Amino acid sequence: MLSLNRLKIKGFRAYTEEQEFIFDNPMILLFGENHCGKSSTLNAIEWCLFGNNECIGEKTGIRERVGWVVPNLTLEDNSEVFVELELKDENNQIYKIFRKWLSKTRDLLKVTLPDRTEIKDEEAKKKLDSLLKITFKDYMATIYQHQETIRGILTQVPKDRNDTIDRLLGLSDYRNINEAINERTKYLKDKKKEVSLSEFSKEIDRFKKNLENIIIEKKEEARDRGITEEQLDGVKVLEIANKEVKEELQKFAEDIGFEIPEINIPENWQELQSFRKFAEDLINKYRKEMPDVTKQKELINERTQFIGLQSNYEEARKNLKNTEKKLQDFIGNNGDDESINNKIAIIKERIAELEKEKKEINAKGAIIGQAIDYLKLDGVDKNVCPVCGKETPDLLEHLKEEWETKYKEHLGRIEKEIDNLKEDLDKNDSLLKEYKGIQKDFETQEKVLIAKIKEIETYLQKEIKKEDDPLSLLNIKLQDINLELKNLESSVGSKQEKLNNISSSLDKIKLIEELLNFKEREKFVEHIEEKDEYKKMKSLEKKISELNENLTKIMEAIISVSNEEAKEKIDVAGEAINSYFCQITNNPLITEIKFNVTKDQKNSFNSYDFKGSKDEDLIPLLSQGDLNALALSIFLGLSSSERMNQPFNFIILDDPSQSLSSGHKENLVKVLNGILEHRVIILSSMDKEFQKFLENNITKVKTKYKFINWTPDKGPQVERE
Amino acid sequence: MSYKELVEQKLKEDTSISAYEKEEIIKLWQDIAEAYEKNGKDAIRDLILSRSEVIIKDFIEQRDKIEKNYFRGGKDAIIE
Repeated sequence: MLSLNRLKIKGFRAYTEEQEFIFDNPMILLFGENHCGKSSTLNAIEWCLFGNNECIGEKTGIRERVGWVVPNLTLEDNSEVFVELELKDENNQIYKIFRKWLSKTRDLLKVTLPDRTEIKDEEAKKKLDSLLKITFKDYMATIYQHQETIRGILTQVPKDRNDTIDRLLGLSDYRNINEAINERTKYLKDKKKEVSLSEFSKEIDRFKKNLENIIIEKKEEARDRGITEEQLDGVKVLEIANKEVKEELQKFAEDIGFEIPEINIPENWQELQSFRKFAEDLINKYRKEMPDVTKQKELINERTQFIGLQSNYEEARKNLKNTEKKLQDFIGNNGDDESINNKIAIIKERIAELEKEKKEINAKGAIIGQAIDYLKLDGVDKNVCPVCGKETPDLLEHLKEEWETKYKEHLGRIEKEIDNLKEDLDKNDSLLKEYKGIQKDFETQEKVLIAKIKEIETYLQKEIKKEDDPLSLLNIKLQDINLELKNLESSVGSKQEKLNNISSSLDKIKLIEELLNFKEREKFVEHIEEKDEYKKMKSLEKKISELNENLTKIMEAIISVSNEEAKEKIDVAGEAINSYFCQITNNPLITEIKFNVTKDQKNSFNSYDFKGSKDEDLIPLLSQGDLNALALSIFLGLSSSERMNQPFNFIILDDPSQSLSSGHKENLVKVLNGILEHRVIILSSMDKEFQKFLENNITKVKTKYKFINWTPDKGPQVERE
Repeated sequence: MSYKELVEQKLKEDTSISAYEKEEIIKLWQDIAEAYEKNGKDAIRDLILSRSEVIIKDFIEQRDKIEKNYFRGGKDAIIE
C-alpha cells in the first residue's frame, strides 16, 4: 500500500504561496474555519494523482466540480501552479508525483521513480496508473469522503439519495450514461412518426384519392373541349401535334411569304413541352411580324404623324390670327407707331418752349432777388433803384410784391405744365414699346406658320401654293390612310384567327399531356413499393428501429451490471457498514441496519433501502445526524473492506461531523480510533466540539495543522502543531 | 474490470441477441463509453443524436424525392 509522505502546494485553488505538509503521524488533522483552505489542501492530493481530465466536470459526479477552477483566482496569468506529492510504498521506495497546471485542458505530469529517474507525460501517466491501480471514481468512493456525499444522503428525495449512494459506491458512471441514453431514446420515440412508412402510406393514399379526382376533372374538361376518349392517348396526341400544329404553321408561313419553319415532332408525348414552347414562340412571332401587320403598323404611324401636322398647323394659324387682332385693337385705341411718334414729337417741342420760358423767368427772378437783398442792407436808400438809380417810393415793398405775385406764381404754372407733359411723354413711350412688341410677335407667328406649311409640304411631297388650303390637303391624305387600314383589317383578322386556332390546338395538346401525366403517376403510385426510394425508406425505418432497440439493450445491460456491482459491494462491505453505523449512532431502537439494493420501478436504476432487524424501512426513522452517520458508515465500510483492493494506506474525511449530534461525534471518534489501527486518517474540520473530541480521544499520535486565516495575496496561513 | 468492460461482457452474455447484432451493439456501446470518457453526458447525447439524425435526414430525403418526382402537388403544378 502506498502512504503519503509529503505534500507541496503552490497556486492551487486557495493557495498563492508555496506550502508544505508532512504526513508523519497516523492522524493528520486540518482544523480551521470555513474558506481557510482546508478543502483545497485535500483536493490538491486528488488533483495531483488524477489531473484535470478526471477531477473536473460533470462526469466526476460531484456537482461542485462543474466549472471547477484550479489556479488561484488572484494570481497573474503566468504564475506557477503546481502540486507535488511524495508517496512511499511498502518497500519504502519513494515516488514523487509532480503536476503543473498549464491550461484548462492541459497539465504537465512528472513522476520521479525511486532510482531518481524522471519520466514525463504519457509515460508518467502509465506509471502512475500502474502504481495507483484505482480509478478516480473508486478513489472518491473509498479514499476521499467528499462533503457532497454526506449532503446528498441527508436529502429527503429518494432519487437524489439513490444518486448519492451510487456515487458513494463508485457507480455514478452507469447512472450518468443511462440517463443520457434514456433521454435520447425518448427523443427517438417522438421522432418515430417522421420515420414511419405507415404514416407515409397514409400520404400515398391521400395522394391517390387526389389524383383520381383530378383525372375525373381533367377528363370532363377534355370532353368540353371536344377531345374524344380515343385522343387521350400517347400516340394520338402526337398525331394532333403533327396535323393541327406543325402542318398548319408551315402552311401559314407559306401564305404570308415567310420561310417554312422546320418543326420536329418528338418521339414520345413526354417530350411535348419543348415542342409546345417552340410552336408558341412561332405563333407570337407571326402575330407580330406578318406583312399585313407590319403594313398596319406603318399606316398607323403615318396617320399619327399627319394628325400631328394637322393640329400643329391649326394652332399656328390660330396664334397668328390672335396676334393680328391684338395689333389691330391696339392701333384702334392708340394709333400706329407713326401717330404715336408724332405725338411724342409735339410734346417734346412744347416742353422745350416751356423750358425756355422758365429760363427767362428764372433770370428775371434772380435780378429781382438780388435787388431785394441789396435794398435790405443797412444804410441803403430803400427808395432808390440799385440798377438805374431812379427814385421810386416803397421800392423794396414793391419788388417784394412783384416777386410774390407775378414771378413765383407764373413759374409754378410753367413747372406744372412741364410735369404733365413729361407724364404724357412717358405714356406714349410705353405705348410705342408695346406696339413694337406686338408687331414682333406677329412677325414670329407668321414665320411659324410658314414653317408648318413647309412641314406639310415635305410629308405630302408637294408644293403648297398660296391659294391651297393645307388642312384640306391633309384631310384627304388621312382619308386615304383610313381606307387602306380598313381594308387591311379583315385580312389581318382572318390570319390572326388561323393562329388562334393553332394556339387552341396547343392548349388541347397540353390538356392531353396533363391527363397522360396524371395517369402515369397513378400507375406509379400503384407500384410504389417496387421503387428504389421506397425500398431505401424501408431500410432506414428499420435502421432507426434497430438503433432504438440497441440502445435499449445497452441500457438494460448497464442497469444489470450496476445492480450487480452494487450488490457485490454491499455484500462485501455490508457488515462493516452495519457495524460502523450502530457504533456511531448507538441507537437502542436500531440494532441493525441492512443495506439493500433493488431496481426502481419507474426507471430500473438502483434503488437503495435500509431495513432494520424487523425488516422495517429505517429511512423515515433516521434523524439528520443518523443519515450523516449512515453516509460515513458506507464510506468507512467500503474503504475498510479488504476486498476493495485499496492501494493507499490512508483515508481522507472532509468535514465529517456536519449534522452529527455530540453523541454521534464522540462515537465517530471512537470508530476512527479503531480504524487508525490499520489506516492513516487525514481529517479536516471546522467543528470545534468535534476537534476537542478528536484531540482528547484519539490515542494515536496526531499532527495538527491549524488554518488560522486566509488572505488574497498570501493564501492560507497555516501553523503546524 | 472497468465499467466499460463489465457492460461489454454483459452484452456478450446476452443470449437474446444474434452474433451479428451483438457485434453492432457492442460497437455502439464502445462508442458511447468513449464519448462519455471524453466529454460526459453531453457527448453521449450528441453521439446518438448525430447517428439518428443521419438516418432521419436520409429517410426524409427519399420521401421528398418521391414527392418531388412523382407526387408534385396540385393539378396546375405539373405541366409547365
